[in-house]
Amino acid sequence: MEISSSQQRRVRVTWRQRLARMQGVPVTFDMGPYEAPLAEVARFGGGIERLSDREIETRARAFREQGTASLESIRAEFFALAREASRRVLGMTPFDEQVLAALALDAGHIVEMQTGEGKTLAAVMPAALRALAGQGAHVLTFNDYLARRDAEWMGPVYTMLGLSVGFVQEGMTPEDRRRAYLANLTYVTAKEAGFDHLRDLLAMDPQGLVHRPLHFALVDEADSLLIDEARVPLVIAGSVGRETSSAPRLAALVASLAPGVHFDADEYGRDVELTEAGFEQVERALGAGSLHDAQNYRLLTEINCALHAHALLRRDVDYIVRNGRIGVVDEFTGRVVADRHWPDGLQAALEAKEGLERQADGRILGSITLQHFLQGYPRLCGMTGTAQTAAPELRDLYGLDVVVIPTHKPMIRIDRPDVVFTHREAKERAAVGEIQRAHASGRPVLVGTLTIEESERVAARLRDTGVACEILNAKNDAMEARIVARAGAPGAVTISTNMAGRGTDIRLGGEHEEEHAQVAALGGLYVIGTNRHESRRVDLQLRGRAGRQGDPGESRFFASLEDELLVRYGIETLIAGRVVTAKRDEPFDHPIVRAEMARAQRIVEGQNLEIRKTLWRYASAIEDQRREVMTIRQAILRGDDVPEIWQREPERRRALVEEAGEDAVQRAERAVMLFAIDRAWRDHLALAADLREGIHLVALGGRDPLRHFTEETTAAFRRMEEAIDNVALDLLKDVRVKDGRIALDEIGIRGPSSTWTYLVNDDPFRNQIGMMLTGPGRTTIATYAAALLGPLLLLWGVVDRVFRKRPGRRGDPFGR
Amino acid sequence: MIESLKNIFAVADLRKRVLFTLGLLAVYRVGGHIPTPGINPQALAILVEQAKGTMFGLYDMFSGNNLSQMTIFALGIMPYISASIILQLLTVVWPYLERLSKEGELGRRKITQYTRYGTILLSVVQSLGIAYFLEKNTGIAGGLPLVYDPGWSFRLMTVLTLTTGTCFIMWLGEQITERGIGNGMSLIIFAGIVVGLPAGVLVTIDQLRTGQMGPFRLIFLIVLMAVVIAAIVFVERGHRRVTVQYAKRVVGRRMYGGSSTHIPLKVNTGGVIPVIFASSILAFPATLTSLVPEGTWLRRAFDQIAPGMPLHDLLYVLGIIFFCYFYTAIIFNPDDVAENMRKYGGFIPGIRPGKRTAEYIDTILTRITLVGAIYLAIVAILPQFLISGFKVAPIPFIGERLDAALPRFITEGMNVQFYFGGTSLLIIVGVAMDTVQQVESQLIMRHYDGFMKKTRIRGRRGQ
Repeated sequence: MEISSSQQRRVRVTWRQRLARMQGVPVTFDMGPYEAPLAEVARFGGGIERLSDREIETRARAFREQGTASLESIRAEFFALAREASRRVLGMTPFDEQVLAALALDAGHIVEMQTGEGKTLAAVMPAALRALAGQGAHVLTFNDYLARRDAEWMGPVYTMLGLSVGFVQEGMTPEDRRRAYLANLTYVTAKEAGFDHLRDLLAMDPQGLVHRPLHFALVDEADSLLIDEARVPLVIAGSVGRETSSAPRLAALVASLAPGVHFDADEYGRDVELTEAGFEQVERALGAGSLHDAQNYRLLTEINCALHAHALLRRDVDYIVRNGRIGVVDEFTGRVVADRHWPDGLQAALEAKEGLERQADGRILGSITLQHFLQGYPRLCGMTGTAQTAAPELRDLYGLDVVVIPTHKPMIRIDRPDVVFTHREAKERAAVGEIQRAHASGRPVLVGTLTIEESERVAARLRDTGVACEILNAKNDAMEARIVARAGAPGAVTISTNMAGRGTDIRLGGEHEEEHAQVAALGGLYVIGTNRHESRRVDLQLRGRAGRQGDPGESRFFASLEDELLVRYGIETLIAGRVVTAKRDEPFDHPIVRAEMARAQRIVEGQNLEIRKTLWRYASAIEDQRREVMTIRQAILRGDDVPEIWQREPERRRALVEEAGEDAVQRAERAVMLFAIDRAWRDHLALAADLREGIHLVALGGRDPLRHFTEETTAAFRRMEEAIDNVALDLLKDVRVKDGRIALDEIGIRGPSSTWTYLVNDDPFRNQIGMMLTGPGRTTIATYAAALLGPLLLLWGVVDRVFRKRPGRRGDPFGR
Repeated sequence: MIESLKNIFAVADLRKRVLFTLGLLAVYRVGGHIPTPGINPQALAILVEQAKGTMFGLYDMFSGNNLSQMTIFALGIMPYISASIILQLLTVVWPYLERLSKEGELGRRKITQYTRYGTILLSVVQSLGIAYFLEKNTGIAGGLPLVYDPGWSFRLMTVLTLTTGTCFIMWLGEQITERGIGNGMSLIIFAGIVVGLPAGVLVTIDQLRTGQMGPFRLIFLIVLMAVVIAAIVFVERGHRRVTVQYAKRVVGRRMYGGSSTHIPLKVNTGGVIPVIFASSILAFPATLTSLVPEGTWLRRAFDQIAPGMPLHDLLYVLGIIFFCYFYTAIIFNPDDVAENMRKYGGFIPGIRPGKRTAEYIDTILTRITLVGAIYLAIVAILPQFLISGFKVAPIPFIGERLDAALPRFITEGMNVQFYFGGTSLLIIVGVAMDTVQQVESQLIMRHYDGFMKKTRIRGRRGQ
């Protein structure tokens, strides 16, 4: 094996990157610290090459038995062992770059490797090393499909190293999950792992736990999981039976309302509201009096939900209907997620809208953000193709630095500049034309669209022009593997939602290796994006399907000023007017437009960052409390701590002990206590959610909303202890002994019969810039300003009042 | 109280923050004793004496007397605040900045950076202005030379010194905000004002010893101070809670719970700002008085509204009430609030969202602002009343008779040495309340961990 020198890996560091480095952006391109260990791995490799399979297994076992004390000292040799094992069982020898990535991962960094550089294989070395400890090492994948694929693909390597591998899939039973987590290595999506963690916190006996204490996680597609998805808190809900609902009646009523007259929908702001006329119409139809009277709160809520379901949730965009049920489409992976609901009222309204049978109602039982869950791992590292732009945030929130690994072969993909149109129709026409042209030359084309609906529309247009194409979206996710396998074949056209993005490996030539050269000669895979995405990283991921491992490839994005990215955030007005005069069919060829598009993306990224930070701050206030309660709960669950709440009713307790025995009473005490804690926690969460809702209003009184929130929830948390006591004592009064056993079921003590997850996006509470002068701590500044700049300040007030853009209903005094 | 202090020092992080803040404030005070070179202090003192009651006096208060003593911190953080206000203003009218402000953290950082550059620019301009002003007024101070060596070397030296001083204060303020406790800029102004307190106490003790002030008067003074401060705290915290109901409604994909919350409408929305507005506008003529030739009608008008004149006091009170409403109207727009509430599914029980809600809020605001305005006027005028009373004599026609009829403590005051003017009092109480609140919430956040440890929930066995 050749020992490569660092000269061969000449890293191209641009002046821009150097500048970023100087400004303290936590990204490093320097492979210096890893060159020596790499050479060491190569040195060991020479000897290991000559070993027999049996000898490799023996040596791996020796490492495992040796224990964890000195992972550092065995790292190089073990990596060499793993490298050799994958050469033997997979026929793939990790390149030096992959070993460098493995070393950087092991050092606890976020590793950026260009797409197609073999992250999955690189992850094997550090994951296996940490798995030696026998405490479980998790590889957190981007989606279910990858969890299974990677576990099965890499499994033989681990087996040769004497390590067991498991993987977790949606819909698995707790037994299967427990078995998967007991393996040395577990491939699982971060969400599933997080939900299992939440479910563990609701377990009623220790046998119900599926996780072991968290030990090590290697996060695949780290920027997506740690940043994009961190915005969506994991929420677990349990059934509380079915409540009667007037949803079907209201769905019909709402459907009879006229948009623009009875309600105003702002499709992109995801906001809808009844107008004055709408209220009157609804009130007349229901005959229940003013909807804003106290007795009608519930009704008003249901109407709002019905309206939201009617006007804003789009079938085949936000959800699909399958087997008589709503399937919620995950906005990040483009897939339908099992057991995912919209919050209750909305779910019921949506079921009514689609005429489906009503499923059970739920209450939120627990929630955690992915950020907080992942921080529960003592050791965390990650890898992705796109980390650089997210580096500051990764440092801020997780304390992780980004290491950029050079590519094995130079990347020769050609990224064409965007083609920008005034309106969508012209854009789609041009995109379809481009697909036709590329298709005619015989090269494979991958088209990335935003929604299921768009993917179908583009496919229909293509078929009209006689181009055969495959669609890859949530509706035919069962065929994913097959479609992806063929996507690189000569002449293949694949229209996809964001399902084909991260982690999708499209091989040139498709299933036929021999056609690789033919496709490469044609210029490789051509990736066409029909929209810019909310984040540059998603665009890069889509481009990254082409030009993998030194293959040729090409990519181009089509965009229009009518794209959701621009309209939803009201940015199109910033561009339009300056350069746009009228609709036209030709694309702009204007550097300003391109610069403005890039800026639009930065604005959206900035806003999403704000949202995440706000979510983080509010969640952190609750997180400390959650840890406190859950530590106590798990101690009781494991029997480390025995509640004696009923000691305060000695008579009653003695009677129970006589009837059922001391053991049974203690078991019952534990169950009652756990139940009481869960209920109190559930109520606490509901209170916190309620409090958060109107919290921004306290800013009007010059108070800091977050501070107010923390104080109020802390006060409530202190009262929680009493609530737990009361619930537990109340239950005691109702406890009956039946057939010599304490019947807990009859007083309602049991875990939720089924659980599901919620799709909840939190809203940010950004302070309006104009609030500067009223916010806390600003009193004196404003005062000072008033004294010195009285006239200027008055001018400011007037200018602000007169000139501030108020785009109709979207105008928002809090800038949320 | 002692308990809270103990808590502050029990939490390591908080202790560090408090000590850090105190340390930097001490640094600030040290700088307040280093004079700008090239200026004759005696001549300066005379000049300052002459400028009392003008805009100059107001500026001086905010710079913690650094301006009147021409220390290296003479400009204070005035240029920084001017720069941030100007940038806020530009953000509204200049699309480039508007977009930048929307770009989240990175954009804001850029704006902060521009603010700093603006600060330097304004500092240079202002310090140059001061240098010219001092050179020009060299003759005024009783023939003493104010500037020893006028010319470009003096001007450049002044510009360099004052600009550096301002940059340094700006840095101090940012450090306190970031790594200390409370708002750095506020605390720096706060420190500048309260620093006169010890000297005031010494003067009082002196007066007590020499018999200038009787013990009863001292007790009265102390009680009065306590009452006034308590009243300020009481009213500043006062607010009317307007209940807002949220009917479970989905915005984006978030589910809102059926809860009730409230808008706290503050009694005194504008804080001390209306007082400042009023006094800075009244100080304007006083600043110009010396420029107007004696005997003209304008001079006579200016004399009528000079500080201490009854017309001045009247205009002051009316101005405060006017600006209370004016400022509230600028910063609190009931239409915006109603719109926001409607957008997120909130409503005031029994009242339709939208226009009617805006009207309802407006009505409440109008009523409570009147209370706030009267309170502000009283606090602002009280210290002056205690010191020198209302001079009713100059009132035309009835002045003389009124003067004779009213008891002397009204017309001549009680000759009580009140350390702080109304404005300063409002500012220091405001900053102190802010800072205390921040310390409190830090304590709350850190204090509960472990609160359940000793509770009944945990059993006796197995611990």
